[in-house]
Amino acid sequence: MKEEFVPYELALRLKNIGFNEDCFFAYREDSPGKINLYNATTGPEGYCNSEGADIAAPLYQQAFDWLREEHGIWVTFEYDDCDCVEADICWYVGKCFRYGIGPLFLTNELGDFKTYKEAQDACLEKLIEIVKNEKL
Amino acid sequence: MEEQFVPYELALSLKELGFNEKCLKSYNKITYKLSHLNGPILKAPLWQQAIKFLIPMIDGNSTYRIIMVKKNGNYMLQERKDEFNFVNYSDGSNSDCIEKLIEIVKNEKL
Repeated sequence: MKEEFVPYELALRLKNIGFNEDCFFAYREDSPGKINLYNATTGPEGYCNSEGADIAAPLYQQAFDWLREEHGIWVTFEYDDCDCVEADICWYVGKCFRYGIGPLFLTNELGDFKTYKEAQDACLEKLIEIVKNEKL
Repeated sequence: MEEQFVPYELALSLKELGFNEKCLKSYNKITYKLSHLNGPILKAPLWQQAIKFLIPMIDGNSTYRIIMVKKNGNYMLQERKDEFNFVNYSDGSNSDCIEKLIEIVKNEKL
């Protein structure tokens, strides 16, 4: 199930920009440099967040939802198997105010993403960068 | 957190199509509620798992594409009308998108 969760590096960056939603799994540094993904659904709460030392591990769908709801950044993935596009998966990122007015800017990546994971990670990285730049 | 999972009926249809991935939660087949209990259970896929499972099952030459709706991040199934234009084929809810995809996959299998 590991592939359903945002990888550690990106989860950490999400925490740094304020992500603190309830998650089913979390990353924990069990020994120096050794990060493990552990299941928080078996605990009393059934989920965890990033308030403690652990880093909450969001599902990709949670991360994208949070960025949209908290920062008004929308993303659309296109899964298209037609020969007319350069990539199987591409994404577009934009910024809108309260959904509808906008976009302020639009990034169109037609990279050669052949897997969902590749496309999702690259997209998420871009979104985090956008939020970070806004905070500067 | 329940909203992260496809509803019971769709989980059942996905199982019928062969979905058998590891899942975070299951549905109790008696109460239809998400649970960890032992007994008669049905795997409860996440929305992202359902999409990943269904997309490769659609014929590569088909005229459909899936996008994410700008205002709410839901999946939307669209059908190609001509070289540049697509029309919406689902109503903008995740459930309808998955339902339509299942329908297409089932028809392609006939």
